[in-house]
Amino acid sequence: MSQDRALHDQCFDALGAYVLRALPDEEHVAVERHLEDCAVCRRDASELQLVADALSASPSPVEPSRALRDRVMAVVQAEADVLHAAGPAADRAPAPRRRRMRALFPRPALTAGAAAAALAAGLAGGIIVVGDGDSGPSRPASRLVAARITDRDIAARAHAAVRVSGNRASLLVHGLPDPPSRRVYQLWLKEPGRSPVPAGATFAIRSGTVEIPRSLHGGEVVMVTSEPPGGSPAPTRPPLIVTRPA
Amino acid sequence: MGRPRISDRHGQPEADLRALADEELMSLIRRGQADAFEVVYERHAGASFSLAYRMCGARTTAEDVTQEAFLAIWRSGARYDAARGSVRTWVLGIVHNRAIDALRRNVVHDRRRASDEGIEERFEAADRTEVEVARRQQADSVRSIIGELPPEQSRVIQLAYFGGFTHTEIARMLDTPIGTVKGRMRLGLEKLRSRINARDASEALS
Repeated sequence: MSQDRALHDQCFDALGAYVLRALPDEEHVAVERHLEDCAVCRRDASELQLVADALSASPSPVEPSRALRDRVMAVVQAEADVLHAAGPAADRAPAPRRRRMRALFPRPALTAGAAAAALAAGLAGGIIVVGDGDSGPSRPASRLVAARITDRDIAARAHAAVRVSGNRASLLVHGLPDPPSRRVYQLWLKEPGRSPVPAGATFAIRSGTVEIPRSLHGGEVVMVTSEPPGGSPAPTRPPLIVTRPA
Repeated sequence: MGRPRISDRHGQPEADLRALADEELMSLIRRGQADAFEVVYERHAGASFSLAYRMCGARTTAEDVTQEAFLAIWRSGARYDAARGSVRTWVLGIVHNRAIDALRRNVVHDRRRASDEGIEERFEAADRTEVEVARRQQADSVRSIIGELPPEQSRVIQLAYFGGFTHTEIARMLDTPIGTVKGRMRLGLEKLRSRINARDASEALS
């Protein structure tokens, strides 16, 4: 009992430092755990927290640059665009705690909400997580297939995914750079064990949707390379965008 | 100045969005609505950056912190829980945490300020609404209440809250026992609380 009392007293005395976030990590965690068990400390902490809240709003006003807003909104807009590719009814659930790539593997039990959340969580690295985007009884089931951008600098600013819906598919891109000079982007479909075949027209858009002539076969991969205008019968460069096998 | 794009997908013109309360915007953000997020950003980026700048002392770091905080808010908007306070308080709490992380990663201690003095840039944003005017006045009054605290209490609170120092570091810096530092933090916060309450009470009566 005296150990509990001692712990309580220590935590109580540390509550000021706690709400000011002045405790080293281990102590912070220890106080947090104690708060779960102790109503007295909880009440006191929440009152002190109100003062910390007032402190947070007290600094002299300094206006951020316009460029900051543009940077934030560029990322947000890019992610929103790809999210909406899952369908307007797609909802977002709380983001998963850890953004792990193991979420890339298809999980048929995912709801639209969890899928869209996994999508959002995976966007940071230019990789988009597989979702099972069933958006409602009146719409055909559509799903997003993960697409990886192989150039790291481009991946930091751009996003890509393939949406498969019924017997149709399309490539969604946002924020790609212009293709290299005197080249255009070309889509390919590659079945396991076979060479890539050209799929649809060439394109040079930075953001938007590119139709793929048909839905994807099992294990098929969608690729994007840059090619001379008019396209090539076979890729002449390593792919910039590669999807996970469908 | 740009305004939020009219969202075709949701058919909600920007005028309607601006009329929504923060809490309602948060549930739209949860559905991935970028234009709702943009309104939240516009409302709270100023206060967020002001806090980050007060703590980090440099524009670029403060902007990075603010950007990180808002992107985290966009990606996990569902974590906002109205029972825990206003959206603004929640946003500023996130900014504060990110700034503390940035400060503790950075070994350059002289960036951290103990006080508000010496911040040359004061870009006074035009107070557009009554809410903003009231907030500005409250901020001014909290700063002056902090100024009225006994200096040893004010100092440890500012070093901790705005400087991001731990109590161990503060004890070392001031050559004072840790227990004393903790005690001053608590006393200072309690004194602030009672003075803020007294101010609110007198405003309510006036």
